[in-house]
Amino acid sequence: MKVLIQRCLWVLLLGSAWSMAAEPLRVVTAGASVTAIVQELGLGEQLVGIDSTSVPLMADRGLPNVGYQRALSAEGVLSLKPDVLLGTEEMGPPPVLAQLRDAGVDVVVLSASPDLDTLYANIEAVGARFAHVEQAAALNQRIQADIAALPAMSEPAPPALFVLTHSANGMMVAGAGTVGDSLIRLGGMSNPAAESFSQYRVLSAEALLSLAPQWILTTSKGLEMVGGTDGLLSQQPALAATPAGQAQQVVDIEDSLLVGGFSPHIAPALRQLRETAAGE
Amino acid sequence: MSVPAVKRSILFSLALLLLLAVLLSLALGPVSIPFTDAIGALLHRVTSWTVAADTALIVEHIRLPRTLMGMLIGATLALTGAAMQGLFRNPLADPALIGVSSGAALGAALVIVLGSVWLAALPAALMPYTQAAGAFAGALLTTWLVYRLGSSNQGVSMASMLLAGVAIAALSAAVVGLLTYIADDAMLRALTFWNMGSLGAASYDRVGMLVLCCGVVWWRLPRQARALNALLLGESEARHLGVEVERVKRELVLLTALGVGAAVAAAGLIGFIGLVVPHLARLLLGPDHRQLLPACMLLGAALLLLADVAARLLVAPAELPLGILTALLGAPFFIALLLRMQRRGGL
Repeated sequence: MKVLIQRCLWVLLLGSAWSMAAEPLRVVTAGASVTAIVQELGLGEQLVGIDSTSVPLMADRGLPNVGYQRALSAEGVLSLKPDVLLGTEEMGPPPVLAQLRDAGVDVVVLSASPDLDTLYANIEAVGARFAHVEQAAALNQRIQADIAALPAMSEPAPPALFVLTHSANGMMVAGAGTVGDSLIRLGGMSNPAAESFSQYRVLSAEALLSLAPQWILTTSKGLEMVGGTDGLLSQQPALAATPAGQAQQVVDIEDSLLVGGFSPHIAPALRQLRETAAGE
Repeated sequence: MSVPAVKRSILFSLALLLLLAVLLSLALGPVSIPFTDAIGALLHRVTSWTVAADTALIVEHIRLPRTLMGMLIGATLALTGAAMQGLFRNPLADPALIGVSSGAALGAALVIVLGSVWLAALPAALMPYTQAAGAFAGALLTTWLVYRLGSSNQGVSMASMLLAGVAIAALSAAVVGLLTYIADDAMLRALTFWNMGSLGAASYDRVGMLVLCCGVVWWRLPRQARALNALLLGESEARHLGVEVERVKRELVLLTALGVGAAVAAAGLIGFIGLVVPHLARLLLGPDHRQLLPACMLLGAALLLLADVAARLLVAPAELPLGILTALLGAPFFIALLLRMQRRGGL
């Protein structure tokens, strides 16, 4: 009799453990690239909240917005009852992350380093966390194939600058170690700004001219706000005077590719850049 | 002299307002918790009340430290604001005038931008506190500098202290600007959010630090109420009334630096409480500092808590920076106050 009860208990326990495992994990993501990875792995249904940079990616879902990824609110995130908070080193502030961990949320911090190896590692890590290892491997293979199929880099690589914001006071230009710099290099161009500084730096008109870019890369939203290429060049005479400005060679990059390291949607953007660099 | 019944009942109503604000702050948030559960979560350790574990965690580890921090900071900002307005005999005075806020901003900016290089040798356990420590040290140092610049062998001149405060604030702003220039993207964001203030990082460590610093201010500053009343007549008149004016000035400046420095270190810059609340309290109770100072503490704590409740609810599950909300609510109110005083010809 005792044995029977024990067996029944075991069955119950295993049963509940199994049903717990089958229950999909509730996920909040921070950083557009992380959200894109989750989406690409087919885990989008498990999202219960996203940060403000991911909103354009998930516009049709109407998911709750937990705000800017560096200024999360502990109770705000908890109100969505997530099992996992998935983000990069860019998310914070640290005290809030600590509170969330105390509350039993699994806070997963991926690397935001802008390179392809980190992207593959991040996809693998997300796949492992959500038992989607095969899907992760397939996604990585797909991206690797897309990257391998990119047109060859043009020689010599034309100089390009990535301009993050453009105001009357000057332009913030991407130096070494930024997503903008990685995009330029993997896109078959060279970044003359990376030789003189790292991170983003506000450049004066003259400094910009001296770098003589043949291409200007900027964000889609930023370009839209100034009224397209013509608007940008008329507002920034320094840009208009560069080789890029004279030939009206401005390329816009989707904003969601620039937050939280590389996005799994990076390959088409790189293709566009390489074709641009080769003059096609 | 006993406190008139009217004033006593106003103080009592302010205490009730604070109680209401505390209850709201504990009961309201993006996670909806029934009121009785929120109270139960507070008391479940000492009574037989049972609440769900996650409710207890949210109330005990997120809302309670946040509420305590809001009370401590709101009361301290308003109290020191009233003291500065009394000391400078200027309705526009607030703690920023003696360099506390600009110094704190400079200290925090130094840690944010250069900390990764300078403080790399510190043990990891101390890293979360470096920003607060930098702000606190910056606040105390600049205040000391302003105070030294304002004093001569004839004592401290409030006029030259005021000018020194303006100059030091400009200098700090310039250095912060320089730091902003060399900062990378992540540092810029950290700086921006620090400048907007928030109670989001509330923890019992910070509450403990605030209790120590603000406790001293709450204990010592209201004792200067009579001296502040005498100072309203002018410095020499106060001296004739037997007030040790120099000692009072030194103590008030020191206490303000301590209290505001701690507040800013814990939550970043939160504007307008120190400026608006003393005026509101004066409208209600008149200029006698013996009732004004406690009223400021009650009202400052209550208003900061109410602003914080709004900050967490308005865009939930995201959160508005508290400093922005206090300025958004405080500035129009202050303008209305100004217009009313002009009409009365009272300014």
